[in-house]
Amino acid sequence: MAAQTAWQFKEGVAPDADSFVPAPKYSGELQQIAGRSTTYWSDAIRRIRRNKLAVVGFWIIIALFVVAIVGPMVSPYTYEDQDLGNTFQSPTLRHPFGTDQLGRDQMTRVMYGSRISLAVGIVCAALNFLIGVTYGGIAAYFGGRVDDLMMRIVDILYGIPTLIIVILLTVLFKDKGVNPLVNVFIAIGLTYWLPMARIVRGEILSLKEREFALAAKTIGAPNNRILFRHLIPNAMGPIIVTVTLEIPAAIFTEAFLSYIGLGVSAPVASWGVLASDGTEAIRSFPYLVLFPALAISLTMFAFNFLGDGLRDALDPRLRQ
Amino acid sequence: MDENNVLMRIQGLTTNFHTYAGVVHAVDDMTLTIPKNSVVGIVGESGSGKSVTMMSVMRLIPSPPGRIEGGHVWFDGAALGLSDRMEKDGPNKGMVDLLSLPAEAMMKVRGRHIGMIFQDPMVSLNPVLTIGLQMTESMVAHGLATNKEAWKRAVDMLSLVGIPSPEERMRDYPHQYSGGMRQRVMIAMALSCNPELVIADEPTTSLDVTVQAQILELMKELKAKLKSSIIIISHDLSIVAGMADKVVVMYAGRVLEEADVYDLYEKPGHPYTMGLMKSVPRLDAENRERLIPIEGSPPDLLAPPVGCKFAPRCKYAMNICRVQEPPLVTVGEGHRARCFLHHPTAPAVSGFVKVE
Amino acid sequence: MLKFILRRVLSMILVVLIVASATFFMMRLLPSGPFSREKKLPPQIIKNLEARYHLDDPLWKQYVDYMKNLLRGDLGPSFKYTDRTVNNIINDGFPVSAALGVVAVILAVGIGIPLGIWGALRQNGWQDNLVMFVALLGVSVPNFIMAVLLMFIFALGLHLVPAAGWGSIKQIILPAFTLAGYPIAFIARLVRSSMLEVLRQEYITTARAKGLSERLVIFRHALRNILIPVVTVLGPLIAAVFTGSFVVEKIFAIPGLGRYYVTSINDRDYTTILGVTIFYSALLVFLNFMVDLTYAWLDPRIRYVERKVS
Repeated sequence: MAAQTAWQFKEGVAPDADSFVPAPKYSGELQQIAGRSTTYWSDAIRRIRRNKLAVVGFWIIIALFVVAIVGPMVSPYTYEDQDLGNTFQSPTLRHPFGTDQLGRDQMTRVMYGSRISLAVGIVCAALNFLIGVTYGGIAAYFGGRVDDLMMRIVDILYGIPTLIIVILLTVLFKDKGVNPLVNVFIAIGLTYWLPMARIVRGEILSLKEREFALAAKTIGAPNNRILFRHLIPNAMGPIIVTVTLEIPAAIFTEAFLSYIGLGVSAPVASWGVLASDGTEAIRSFPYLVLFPALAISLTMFAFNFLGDGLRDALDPRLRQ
Repeated sequence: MDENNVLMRIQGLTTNFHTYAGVVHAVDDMTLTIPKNSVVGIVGESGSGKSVTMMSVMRLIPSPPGRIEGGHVWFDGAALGLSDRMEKDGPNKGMVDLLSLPAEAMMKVRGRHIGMIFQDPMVSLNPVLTIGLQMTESMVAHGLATNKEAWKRAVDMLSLVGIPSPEERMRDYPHQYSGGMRQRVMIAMALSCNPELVIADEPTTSLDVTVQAQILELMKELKAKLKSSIIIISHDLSIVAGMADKVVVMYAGRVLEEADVYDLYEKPGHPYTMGLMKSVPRLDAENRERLIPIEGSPPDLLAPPVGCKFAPRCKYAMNICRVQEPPLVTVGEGHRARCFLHHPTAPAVSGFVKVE
Repeated sequence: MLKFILRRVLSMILVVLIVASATFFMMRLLPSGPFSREKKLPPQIIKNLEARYHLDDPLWKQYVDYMKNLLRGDLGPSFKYTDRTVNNIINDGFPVSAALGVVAVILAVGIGIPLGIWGALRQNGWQDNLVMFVALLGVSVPNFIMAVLLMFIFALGLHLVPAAGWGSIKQIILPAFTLAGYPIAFIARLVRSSMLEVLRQEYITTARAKGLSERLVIFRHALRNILIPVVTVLGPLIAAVFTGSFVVEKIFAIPGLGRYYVTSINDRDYTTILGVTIFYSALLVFLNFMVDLTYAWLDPRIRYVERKVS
């Protein structure tokens, strides 16, 4: 049968004697992978930089640190200087955030409050991190009955409303004369580690079975080395996200406690205390509650934006 | 080809995915004819475009990244009951272009005229709904039956596909079934509206080998009983060969060869097809024969090679192959291939049957 | 199924007992008695009061007595308000808080879920970005700030609703929305991401391939799957509503249990603190249990783990 061919050739391609000669072999073309190769971390950093909200959050946090450290130092007032001739002043150039019932400069007090909030955020997150990671890591690593028991305890603890525990612990320590700030550190640090423990345990359980862990085991690495040098670093992604999101939770809790009267005592001012005091006078002097409220909200936004962005950036499933 | 015998004709279908990294040319100018009452097998590696082609036919391509850029999918207008949309004359007389239908109309085609069986029955069934509901809902949605009638028919279909005690099984949930049972349910579901075309996308790939055999047997039985055409997609040539009347070999979004199943095996017209056949173990082979895999991997669809897409891996590639893509030429009755080796001037290759 | 219920009930009782005991001992550990905070009372009166409240009994006896009373549902007298018992206080305050809480949860679910679905369906469109941004704000703003803000704008500023108090429908609006603020935002975000996740699933493609309308696909196939993660967070959200009520009731002057609780803490009214804590724990544990039952109802994979057909 005659071939029904339509041998059409492109422009400028005229088949010549050379065309049907076997071509030289490709070398190295066979197994190319297109696309730039990146590591997990550089890919994550690239993605988070594209997330505008997260970047904004990051810079707000930096600004917050600067204000917290430098602010009270450069202010002409301290947080307790009273000026009884100048009480309840609306915001002016001299007192950009106004003054309260004792004539204290609100701006300085808010800046000072930022130190407290940041301290609470960081110390509590650090405590939660330490306790949570260790607990979860051990439970996951040893697995079996140890894991069952440890997680059973966590489940029971989960059934108890944490804020109530925090409140009770705060009352307890306060009356024992513990410094209210340390009090808050302890109360929050001891109770908020549960989510971290669960997440760490989950991550390590799944990482445990992967090849690199088994490889480390076969060359005889001791248990704690495997746990700390291999498994935990690989679980860092979700851990970082959780820590970043625990900071605003701690700040919120401290503000909450202060608001119901269990926080630091006068004249030291945390944002919660300032907001609480300010609420009393909201009808006549709204600026007293406005600035601390803005401060708390802004800080929490910033950490949440950043935490969200980190979570999206570090989630391998969402890789494009 | 007998015009009245064509159920569906894909013509010049091109589907791209616009991703962050660039445009992926998943299916490129694909043309394929599906006759009535026949089984067509589509074979190809991952990324060859076989699934994307079928999803394009169903218009189920996720639309932000994916887009059907061009082409037509002609379907028998009389079967669809859409006489006002039929082509009045020309080569596609009496057919309707599925790609031109408004969304509502296409929805009525899916399930009713084209049934689809997916690869992994574990995730293809909704875990929170009963099997009974999932079986009956398409019949009811297409207005083919009331709830009661649909229920009864579903029970019949379940026993047709070999599920014991079908009445009780209707109230069960997917997780209570084994993998093989779930796939039988998927098959029953796809057949429930009596579609003219059934597309089975890797129906046995996720199953254990023994279960695979059972499902294939089932499909062969059904093929004999039904009047539908079946398209069976697989990366496994032997599965396709066992069932298909006609085989299409796809690679990098193009059709490389299309032939009657016997012709394909006896007279392969493309080096890729030859390579596929050599890389599969055969029962009748000598014990010591090595499997010869095809070296290399499929091309990156973001930046496909100029010229023949298979040339980088082809043992017989010629200079012309690097420069231009060969056209699909007819090399025998119902047998087309896309290879310059069929050109009169090309050298002869052992095992390769050139066009006469 | 029955085994599951039984195990949960036992676990619930255990939790409540642990909380009760822990709180009991915490209260007893406090150095100052309840009476020493106010004006100095003559020692003889203190002795009498202590006898009356059995504070002079050995610790273990106090504990056992308390537990016995607890099992009968008797939470003891209030230290501060000598003519009232803790049970009284709870009976007065709880219905108010419950009403507020229920409204808040209904708002949370009724607004949060549709919002999340809407955002997901318009993924990356302006609606999605708007919903997500507002939701992010919602989870970031502390509830007492939200309360003050809403009060400032809607009551003091626009005079649309009364600023405080309890009794009329209008007075529920502000506190309910404040309480619901965080849950609405949280649920909206969760539903959105859950929806996006579900819509990526194979069974959704199957449903579409059967020719089902988009409406059916979303409301019959997707919805129940979306609600599953929402139900799992319902427990902690309810807890958040409880604790949120502490500040919201204080700010809006609502005579609910939360407000009494905060007052009792500040007054160091130990029995009330103890009693209300136990009450909250028991309530939360019970509600969590209800939530788990709902979860099992939604997800048949949990229900029918035992039987398997092949």
